[in-house]
Amino acid sequence: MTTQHIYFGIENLALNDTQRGLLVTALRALGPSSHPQPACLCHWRTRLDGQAAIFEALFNEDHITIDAFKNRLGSIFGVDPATIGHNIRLVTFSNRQSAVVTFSRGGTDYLRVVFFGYAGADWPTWMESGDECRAYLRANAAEWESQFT
Amino acid sequence: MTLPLTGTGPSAGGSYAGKVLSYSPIAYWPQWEPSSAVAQCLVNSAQNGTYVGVTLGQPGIGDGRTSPFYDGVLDYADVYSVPLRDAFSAVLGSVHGWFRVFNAGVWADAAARYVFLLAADGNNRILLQRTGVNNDLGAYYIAGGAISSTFTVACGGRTDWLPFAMTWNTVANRVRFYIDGAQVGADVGGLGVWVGNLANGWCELGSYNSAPNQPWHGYLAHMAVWDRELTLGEVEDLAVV
Repeated sequence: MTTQHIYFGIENLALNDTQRGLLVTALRALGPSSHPQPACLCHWRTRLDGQAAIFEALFNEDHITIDAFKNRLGSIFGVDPATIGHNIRLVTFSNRQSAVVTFSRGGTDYLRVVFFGYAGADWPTWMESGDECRAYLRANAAEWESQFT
Repeated sequence: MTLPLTGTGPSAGGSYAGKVLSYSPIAYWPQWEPSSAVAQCLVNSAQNGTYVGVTLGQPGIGDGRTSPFYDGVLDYADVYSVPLRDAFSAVLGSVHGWFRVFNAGVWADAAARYVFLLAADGNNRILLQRTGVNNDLGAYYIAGGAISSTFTVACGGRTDWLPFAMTWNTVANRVRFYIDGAQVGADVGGLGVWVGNLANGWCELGSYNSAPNQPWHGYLAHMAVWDRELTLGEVEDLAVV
């Protein structure tokens, strides 16, 4: 098993509440069930509107592939994962490209996933992935942070 | 014979943790665990906290111990407990600890980031944060919904460990804030009336809440709480490893 300690984010585009709940539950179960280092256990935060989240863990690489997300969506929708399409856009938040993958079916975009610092070739280090995630949060602070002084 | 400045603290020898404990805090999380999700409280294990996401075992303040790294994205330590709630006093108290930003860029990223929060709710809070204003550190005693006391310190560029202390005394109507063992500005009064007890979800190290919003990006160590005002001498002593 190859593992990657990275950050990824999801954004709900058209999942209903039940579908979104099933997806989030599945994603929160990723990563090791126990680990001496808290950073390696799956942990997350949710955007203020509740429609996006960021996850970090020491992930099994096989669990965070495009096909793995299609399998999850297929299970949630009760359809063949092969009927779920995707397109990829590359975005640079800080120094490395991140793949922003939009999953769709029947002409509707349902889910967007961003792999911070990973563009499909070399995996980023944990710090590189974090740097991209932090830069993303800075660029989208209004959606993720309220001012709590 | 009483030693000046050191109280009963073993400044001439012994561990830094021993020094902190000698001043009888009501809670003390050194955050030196090499592994585990438990942020151990050396005063009362029933006040142990819970780490979420931190990377343990990082360089410490120079006392031979380690500290956790908070990633500025998802990491915090929840330190609420019923014993802490019951021991805490919003009338008279202090917090002392050490923080260090990950790099100088943290002071310039325009992101508010919490060092600690002890609160009953949004209207009754004691906190220290790197404010949303670049280079500024802000300490607040907020009671009854009013920001009763604010201290702002320009810390831009500081990437070393910084010891801080905040004390409050509502009877004497004053809040004091210290950095590097020295008081920042004058005493501030005009304190509001604190309402409520410390509450679950409102006692955090390294974030505003368990969302986590405004997460710290860097290192924290040796966070301790008292139910009395630390003296200048004690603060000076605690600022020395």
